[in-house]
Amino acid sequence: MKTAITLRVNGDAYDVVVPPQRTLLEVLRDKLLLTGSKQGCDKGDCGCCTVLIDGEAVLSCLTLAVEAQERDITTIEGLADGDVLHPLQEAFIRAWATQCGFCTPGMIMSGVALLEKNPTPSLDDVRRALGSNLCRCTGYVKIFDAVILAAQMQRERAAAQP
Amino acid sequence: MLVMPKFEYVAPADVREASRLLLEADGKGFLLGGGTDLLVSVKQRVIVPSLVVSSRRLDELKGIRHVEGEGLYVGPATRLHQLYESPVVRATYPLIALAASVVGGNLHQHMGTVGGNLCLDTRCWYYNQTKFWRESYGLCFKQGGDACYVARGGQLCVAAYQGDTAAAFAAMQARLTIAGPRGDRQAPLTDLYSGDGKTPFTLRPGEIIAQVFVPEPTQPWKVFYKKYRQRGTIDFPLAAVAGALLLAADGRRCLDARVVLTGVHTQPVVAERAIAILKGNELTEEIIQEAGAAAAKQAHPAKTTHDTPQHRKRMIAVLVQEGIREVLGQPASPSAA
Repeated sequence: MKTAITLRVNGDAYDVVVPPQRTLLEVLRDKLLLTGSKQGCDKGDCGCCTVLIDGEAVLSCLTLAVEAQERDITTIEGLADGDVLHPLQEAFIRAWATQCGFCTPGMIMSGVALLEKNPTPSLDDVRRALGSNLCRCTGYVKIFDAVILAAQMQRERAAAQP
Repeated sequence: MLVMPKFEYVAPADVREASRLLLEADGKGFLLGGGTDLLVSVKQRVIVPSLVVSSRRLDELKGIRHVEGEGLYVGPATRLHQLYESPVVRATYPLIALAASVVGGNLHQHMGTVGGNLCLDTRCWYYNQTKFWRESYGLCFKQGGDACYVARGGQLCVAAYQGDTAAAFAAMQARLTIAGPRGDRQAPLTDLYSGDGKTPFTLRPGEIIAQVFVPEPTQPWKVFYKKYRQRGTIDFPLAAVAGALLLAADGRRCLDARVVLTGVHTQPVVAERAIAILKGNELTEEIIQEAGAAAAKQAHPAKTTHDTPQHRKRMIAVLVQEGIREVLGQPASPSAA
């Protein structure tokens, strides 16, 4: 039976009617047209669909949309502040951390969750936090570099604020 | 794209209500924790539920409570990362923190629950496939068919239990409170597992794990959790060992031991033969080797993963030996000394 729910995504409330078997990823992509979160393996192996729910990184392909109601959902589209990119997005560009780009939104969302909890992560912390995110193009060195760089940029931005 | 079949969904706020709903669903109802196991199985039509009962509003099943001098009470809807992020679990129950910190990947640890990991369905590479793939082969025992494609000619399903935390909880002698239609009952964690890959759990219709209790260790146990898997940051154990050793003041003689294997049978296995070898003996290299070999003899992996049963069995010996050497502060391999 379809249910009317309200999803809070990137600060906006969306009223949608969904059957219970619909995943959060399907609703984000197909109903809200937020296609930044990618559909990869669709069974929790690749991490392309990673979004934040109440600040925690989760796999949206294995989250029922009905389970996400009354919670704050952040997708890759919700990171930038107007034209100002999030430090992690900026760092991915500066560190050349993308190749095909398909895994990038998931990598960035896992990175954001890490930096929220730990603003000064070690390389091991980064490797662990991004451990569920798979890149099939190349290696992970530049991706890890980007997260470390983002942490540094975030600290610099915070220090520059009056 | 793996689209799920239709099912009904409820999110009760009371465990009794959840139990009643599961009972009424007559075997077609499933309790949803983090979804990292259940929803994959639903997507692959390995499980086709008529009802999914969410645990998201079952607050009485959430949280960790330590009572000094008594033990640790863990709600089954507690997320796995909460175990290893808890200072008290890390300090007093480090084996449980260790095992929880290597379940799947980081995202699975943030989504997955303790109860979900304990009740992880048994796995097999013929079974955990899409319906399309399985139909091309024919149904096996676990799907209601009359054959096993792993142990040909076998009469029982040999799908492997591959949960990590069960081995650690079992080594810490955890007990369960199980809520059901006839009230609560208590059982040792090891009684949760039936040993049959097809129906791996002894929970009766409508029953839900309501609490996991771990008695507080009264002695300074030294612990290890060693896991062999395909990729270091994700994946189920192909073979894993939870161990706890109680050493004499000389740091060499073993007063007591607990060794539990996972990933290598249809249920977690208490490695009694290895324990008998370790207990009361000085932990010389010879004893360490003997204990590893004895543990491997109690491992009965079948061809349920990409790795061979022979290798997984052999890895049990290696993991036991590495764990003991780690506790003793020795290099992982004697040749590295």
